Amino acid sequence: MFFKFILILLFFGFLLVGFNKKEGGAGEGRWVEPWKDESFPASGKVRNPEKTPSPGEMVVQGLIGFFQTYISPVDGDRCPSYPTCSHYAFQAVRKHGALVGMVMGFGRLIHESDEIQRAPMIWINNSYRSYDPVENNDFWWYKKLGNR
Amino acid sequence: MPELRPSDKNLVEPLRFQLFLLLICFFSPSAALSAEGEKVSVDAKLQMDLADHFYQEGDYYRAVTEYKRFLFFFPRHARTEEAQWKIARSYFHGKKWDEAISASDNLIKKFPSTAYQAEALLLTGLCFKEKKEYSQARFFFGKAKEEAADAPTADEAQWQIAATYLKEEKWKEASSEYRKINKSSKLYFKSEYFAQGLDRIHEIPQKSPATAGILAAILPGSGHLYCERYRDASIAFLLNGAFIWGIVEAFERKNYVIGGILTFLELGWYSGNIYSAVASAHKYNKKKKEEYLDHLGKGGLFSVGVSLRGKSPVLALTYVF
Repeated sequence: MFFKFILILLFFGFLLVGFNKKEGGAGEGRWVEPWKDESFPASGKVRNPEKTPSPGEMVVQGLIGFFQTYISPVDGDRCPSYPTCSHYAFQAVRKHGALVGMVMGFGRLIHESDEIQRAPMIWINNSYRSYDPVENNDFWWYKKLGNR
Repeated sequence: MPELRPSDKNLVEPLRFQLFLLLICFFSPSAALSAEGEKVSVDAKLQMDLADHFYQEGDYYRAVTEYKRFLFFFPRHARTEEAQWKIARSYFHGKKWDEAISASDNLIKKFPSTAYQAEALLLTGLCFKEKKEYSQARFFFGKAKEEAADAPTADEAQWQIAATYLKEEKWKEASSEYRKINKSSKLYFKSEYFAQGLDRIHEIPQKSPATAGILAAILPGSGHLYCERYRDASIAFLLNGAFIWGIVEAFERKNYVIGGILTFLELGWYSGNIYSAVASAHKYNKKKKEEYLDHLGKGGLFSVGVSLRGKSPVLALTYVF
């Protein structure tokens, strides 16, 4: 019983660590000169960035954060896309909520191999990656709902 | 005589040092000469030339500063109108849409009978077009067309009205607007070609998102197959197949926890497969439309070129039907 309790505590502890992981944009801390293009390739713009995430979103984002903090560094940088699949899922959850975000995340894992052939390539972190942001996968319904 | 306290001494010593430095500067002949030798007086022409120089170099940020400096130093000069117009243009080229709109508006308000009025309205329309506010853009293009004294500006405004409909994928409206361009215009043949091309846009091969979704729901992977995404199709089929097999095995062996976890994950794969198939159909349609419009923009029904899509180069003959 005590062992189970410790396990549950550890699980939620890891979730919290994962959730608190700061999002490190590749353009963070850059020197921005007057009128230089400040826009990094747009990915996962949030309708209301100050919106408090729902418990469901917090759990899913926590799991993704756990993956990014503990599993991905060991597993290696293997995602051929930008944003990476975990980052994409994180942004999709933040933009559309836990359920739709997760479905989009699973969809990304399925479609990324053919997307490499079709999407434009961009130079990120010393390698070319196919550019496949959230906007490229929700344009057909998100804009029609009156969003930009 | 009162003696200086230590705190007063601290005040006096830096003062002495500063006086000493000042004396050196005052009596130094080289300093005086260099100041005399490099004396530059900036007149209105020089100031404008400097601003134009930055503008031509593409340094629009500094160009705006220099045009503004011109307006500050020479507010009654004959070229203030030109400077104000160039500020708006610099903002536009610097992709500062809101600032460009505001500068154009300032120009029209300050100089109601300005020669740049039609161009300023056109520029405002272009800014709204870039901001994807197409109805606003059309309003300003319409006003520019009315105000334009010369035919090329009016034709350009008409062309831009059609272009906004094109951006909104309103093909019929775009086609009809392209046809409004005067026969005497340089843009006439191009616009007629666009109008004819847009009349046939429904002939572009398209994939039905509903069909892709239904196929993916019936057999995972078949939706992607329909959208000509063969690798995705095999991945969707194998992933869903493997997880369904795992679920069946787990429940048959009464391993309900593993079965439950696999079912949760399979729901993700299955719904992701449907979503991805529908999105793939939309992406396919979007790509085909963009390719078609790109061909129209380049102005050729036939094109011959070398394609490097595969591993080896291929001589390609393309015909837009």
